Amino acid sequence: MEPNDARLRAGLTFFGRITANMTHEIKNVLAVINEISGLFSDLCTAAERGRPLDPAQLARLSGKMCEQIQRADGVVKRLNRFAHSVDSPCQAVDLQEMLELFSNLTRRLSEQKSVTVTVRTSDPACTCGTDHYGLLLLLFLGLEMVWENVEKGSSVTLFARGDKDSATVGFECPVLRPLAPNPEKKLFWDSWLAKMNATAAAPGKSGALEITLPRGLV
Amino acid sequence: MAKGKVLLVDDNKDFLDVLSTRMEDKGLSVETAVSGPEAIKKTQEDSYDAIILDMVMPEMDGIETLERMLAKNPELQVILLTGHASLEKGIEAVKMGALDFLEKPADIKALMTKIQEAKAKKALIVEKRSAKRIHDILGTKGW
Repeated sequence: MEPNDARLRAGLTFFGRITANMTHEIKNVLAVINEISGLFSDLCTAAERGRPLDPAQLARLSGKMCEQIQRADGVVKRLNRFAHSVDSPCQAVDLQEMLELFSNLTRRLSEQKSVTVTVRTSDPACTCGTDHYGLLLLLFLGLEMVWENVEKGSSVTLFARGDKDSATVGFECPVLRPLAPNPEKKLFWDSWLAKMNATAAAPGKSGALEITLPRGLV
Repeated sequence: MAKGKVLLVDDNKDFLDVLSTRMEDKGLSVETAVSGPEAIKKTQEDSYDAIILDMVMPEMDGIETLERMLAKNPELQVILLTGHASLEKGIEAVKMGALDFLEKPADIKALMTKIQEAKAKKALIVEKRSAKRIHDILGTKGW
């Protein structure tokens, strides 16, 4: 596969994976709302047959429905922010916000791999002029390496830092093997690093994967 | 008398809570589990007419849970619930021995029909096993 094709393929695969994950979460919320709606209907039918309604139960169900609606709203907002990450090939990206978005977009996927991801607060805050979508994609390729090379039940920390000329984002975690892309993903990884003018370092068992890119402040 | 005993398995506690209330109102006896390992343990300790199993869960997904459950008890009647129209996963599950799969959000009537189907199928298996046992005993007596 040509590097250009690999980059396109990796981009599409990532977009598909994240949107599939988010729509799955929305389906789960709809399933709960469906059951709550059904239970309201069941209670109305029972009331018509003489069973008294329990206001406390109705209030509880109403509260649950509100929670689910807020949950779905959160999912849709994150999906929308993700969709807008492709708006421009270069934009000012708040790295802390980006890591929080990334963590939320991929939380359920990491849970399925029995890995917990937390975000370390960057101090001071760090902004980078870069391809927002490209950076999220590189992080995702990095996260896939983490899933493949850590023990189940591991905790992983996402971090960001910057200096005058460059910004670094990455993972810290105890690893079973040095973090590196598997042969299938190596072309994707290399082609996107090249496109972003970024470098990657994975210093063995100390358990970090760092992606460094030009600060490119707009 | 309960219309059947069901184990609901899903990592979403709100979903379990509301669906189990609805099923109990319809006369079923319902237990719940929030993970594959918990569900497997329950199926080893108790008997159920049907197991309603979510396809996607952390730690152990529905397919792996189904595989491990059936390895220990091939007579279990399992209905998978999938949050997306994953026909391939559903077919895979049925080939592995699941009774059927339904897409979330599931219609309660369709779910109840499946549960009764599971209960009937389980009763038939038990009946056949009893008949075979009787036949074998009679055989040893030379009848």
